[in-house]
Amino acid sequence: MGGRFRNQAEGAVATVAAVVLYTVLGRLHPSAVALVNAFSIAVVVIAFRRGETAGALVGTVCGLVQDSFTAGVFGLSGLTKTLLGFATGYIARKIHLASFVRMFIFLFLAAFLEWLAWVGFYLVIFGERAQARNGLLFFQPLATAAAGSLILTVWRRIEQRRAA
Amino acid sequence: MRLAWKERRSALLLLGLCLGHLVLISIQVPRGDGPTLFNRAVFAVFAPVQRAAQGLVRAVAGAGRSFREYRGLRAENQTMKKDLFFLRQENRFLRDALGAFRGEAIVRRNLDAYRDNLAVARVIGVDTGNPYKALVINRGTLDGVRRDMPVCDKYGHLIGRTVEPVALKESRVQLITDDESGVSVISERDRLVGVLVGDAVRARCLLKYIMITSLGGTEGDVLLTTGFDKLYPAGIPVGRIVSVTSSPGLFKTVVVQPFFAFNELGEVAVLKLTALEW
Repeated sequence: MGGRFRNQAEGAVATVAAVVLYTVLGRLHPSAVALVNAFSIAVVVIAFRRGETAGALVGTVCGLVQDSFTAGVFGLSGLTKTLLGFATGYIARKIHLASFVRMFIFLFLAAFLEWLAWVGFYLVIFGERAQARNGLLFFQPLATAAAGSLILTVWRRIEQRRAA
Repeated sequence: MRLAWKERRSALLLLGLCLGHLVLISIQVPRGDGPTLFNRAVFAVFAPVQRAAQGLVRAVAGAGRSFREYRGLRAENQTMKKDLFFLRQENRFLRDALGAFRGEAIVRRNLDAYRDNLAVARVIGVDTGNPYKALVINRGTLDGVRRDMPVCDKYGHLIGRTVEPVALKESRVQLITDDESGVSVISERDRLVGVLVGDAVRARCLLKYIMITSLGGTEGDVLLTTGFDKLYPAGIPVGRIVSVTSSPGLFKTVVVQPFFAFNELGEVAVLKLTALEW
């Protein structure tokens, strides 16, 4: 029961934090939201820590929130982020990803596949390529993986220190 | 056994969520007039979070400035900024009105309409898919903002109009660079009338339906709104023609660079009158 509440609380905090980060980045520079996808970071962090179910649910919420702030089709990011959350949570449970480098590579691949799915759906629905904004969009999986691995490593260190 | 059930449950959940998303997507394709009720609800719930974050950022930035600035000086500065904002709009409108040889009474009436129906708003979010499609501003129904209200930058240049969803304190603005946007415009010099549509991928606009035989449409010519579309009032500066090419077919390809600078869209003005009220 406590675990479930903690899952929900962590998911809610991650979603709100993603909205805050997205707003701050948008204020700093509009192109910053193309480089760093705050919602993807929240999804991979929660999926990594709490598993595929929490990952899929947070992915749904974060994706729909992202969709609500855009003029595109509502549900597009919701779908890709749900898949990202589920896949990240599922695979992270199956393979050993203790080191920063392994975690980074894994998150990069996950974020890259999500990005690819999003671009693919965008192409199918709108019949046009997503705007790359001077190539910044191509670096999005890299930024997501870097930020995600950093947050997870720091979080793990804090928990280890607390346990000791 | 327990693990297998847990995994099956997760897979079922994923399947359910994906199906839900696909249904959600499919009911919007081809895209209709407005967002779904669910879209509006999510926007209404999370837009205040975005607004709060924006407020927090501004508060933190403001705290640093307050150390350096005298309080009274700041208030005076704010008042002057506001006056300057209105004066720019007035100046712009007067110049356009004079250029079109309008009667003084009409100019005065329109100026009063501007002054009383102008809401200064702050941009609190940009479209993550493509920033040249839409923005989110911190004014909503509580401030008298409704859908289809023209939005200008601080120099009085047209940037777009409010579209659904419009929440209590937030609303979305469709930019003129959005592919689905359409503005009826007239060129200042040649009096060439056309429809301006967005080209979000290249962050510019295209003037459509200009016949290849038409003599008007020269590079550098300024475009103003005509008011024919019943969305935007006449006389608002929109952009400048940057290139005119005669491609095979009936119409010319006229590329227009909008006047508004995307990176300077911190503060915008909502003209709180819809077309029917102008």
